[in-house]
Amino acid sequence: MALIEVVNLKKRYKKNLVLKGVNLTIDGGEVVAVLGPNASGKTTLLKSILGLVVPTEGEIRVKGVKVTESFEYRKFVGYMPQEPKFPENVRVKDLIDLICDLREERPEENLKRLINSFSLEPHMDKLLKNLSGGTKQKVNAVLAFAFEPDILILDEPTAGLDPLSTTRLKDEILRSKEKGKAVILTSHVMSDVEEVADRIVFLIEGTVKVDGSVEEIKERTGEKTVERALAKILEESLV
Amino acid sequence: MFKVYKLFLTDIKHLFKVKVLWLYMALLLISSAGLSYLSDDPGKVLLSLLNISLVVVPLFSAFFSISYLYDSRSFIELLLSQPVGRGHIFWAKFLSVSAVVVGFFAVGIALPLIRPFWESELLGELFMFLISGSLLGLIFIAVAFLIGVAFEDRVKGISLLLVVWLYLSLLHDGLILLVIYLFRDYPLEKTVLVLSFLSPVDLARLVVVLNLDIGALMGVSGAVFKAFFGSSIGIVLSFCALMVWFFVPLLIALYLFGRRDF
Repeated sequence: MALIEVVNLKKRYKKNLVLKGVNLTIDGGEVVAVLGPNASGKTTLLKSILGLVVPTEGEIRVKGVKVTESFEYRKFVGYMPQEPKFPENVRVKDLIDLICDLREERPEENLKRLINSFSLEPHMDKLLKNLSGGTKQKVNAVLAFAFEPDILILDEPTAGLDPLSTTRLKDEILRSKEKGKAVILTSHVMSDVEEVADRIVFLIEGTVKVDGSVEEIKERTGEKTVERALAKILEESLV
Repeated sequence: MFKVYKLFLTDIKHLFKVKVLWLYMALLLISSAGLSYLSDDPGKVLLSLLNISLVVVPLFSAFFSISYLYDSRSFIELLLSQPVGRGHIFWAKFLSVSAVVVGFFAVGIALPLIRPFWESELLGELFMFLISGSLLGLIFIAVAFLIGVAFEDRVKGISLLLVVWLYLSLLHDGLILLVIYLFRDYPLEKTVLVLSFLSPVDLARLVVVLNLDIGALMGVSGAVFKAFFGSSIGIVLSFCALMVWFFVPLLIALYLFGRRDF
């Protein structure tokens, strides 16, 4: 059974049909990059899998469970949103405690390792409102990876991170993949995608235009880099 | 329930650090203590405070709640990515905001009045005043949650809430007076009765005024209520109507919260 099954997913915001029947299956042990131009429906697709966005039509199953019928499946999902979003007057350690309580587990060793890896020790007693955007993003990374969920959904995970933290984050992604987790990410940094992704799902105006491995896509377009290959596909679709 | 409790505690801790809430309580304390100092008649003190609470409590409760809800939107998104139900988050937010806003109102009003009302054996009246004020606050928090959940755009939401508050707090009374004036040649008791049920502010005022039984301050709706139902049944009916005013927007807000996109 696939970890994630998306069947004929449609999402409409008022008159605007953002997703026009997306079909997707994602298994464990693969890193899938969901790419596309601005407003192609990437974030809506990820948010639909998380249950943040309610589908207009279609079905999403995570580990066989329909996402519209339960919230418990999110125990198997870790999420890094595009922008760090936290309550202002809460300390970093209190936020981590809260998430541990909500997930009903406390992975001490993993937390220590990640806090150390992202150099967050000096910030643990600080209020979240006093952290920079990059540091907040590191807190997001700790929260997403600490519980070793089966599925990781990362929306522009490297945005705002310094080079060292970006490297550490990519290491975490590859480590998760080796452990058989499914990683879905979006990014505008094609070098990051090329480094970590096994498969690319390219969305244009709410439909999956291309779904294949990085090598397949390069071969198909005859380009040497993912960036050029996707630009070519985009150009072709505009003609 | 554990998850609601944890989220509730987190929100409460956060809310206690919001300075404007302490300012709200301080202003209520000053008003309550000042009026109590200026008058020896506890009934008159309550009536003066009634005029303050009918305007200030709905205004503060509604606008604080909707601002808090809009500010929490991004955090709600983070919570929704965890194994937490939408209902858990909604109830934790509503209960924490309600507990703090209503609690600060009750403490601000009651603290300076407990002793004088105890001495004049009017604690029951004070208690009724606090109940009606708290219920009014809860109704406006529920209305604010409904509008905050229904309208993603902060400007639209707050503008609509302002219109609702303005209508219920000020214009509705004017409407009743206009109806009475325009149709003064007809029997209007039942119409006034129905119109009174359409405003929680009017109902909250009736609970206090009927309880104090001061004819001169009842106004048209109070007099009609008393003539129709007597004081006791009038109070009970007003309470029931206030409960409807509380539960209807709250349950619609909960329904919409379960279906909206974040």
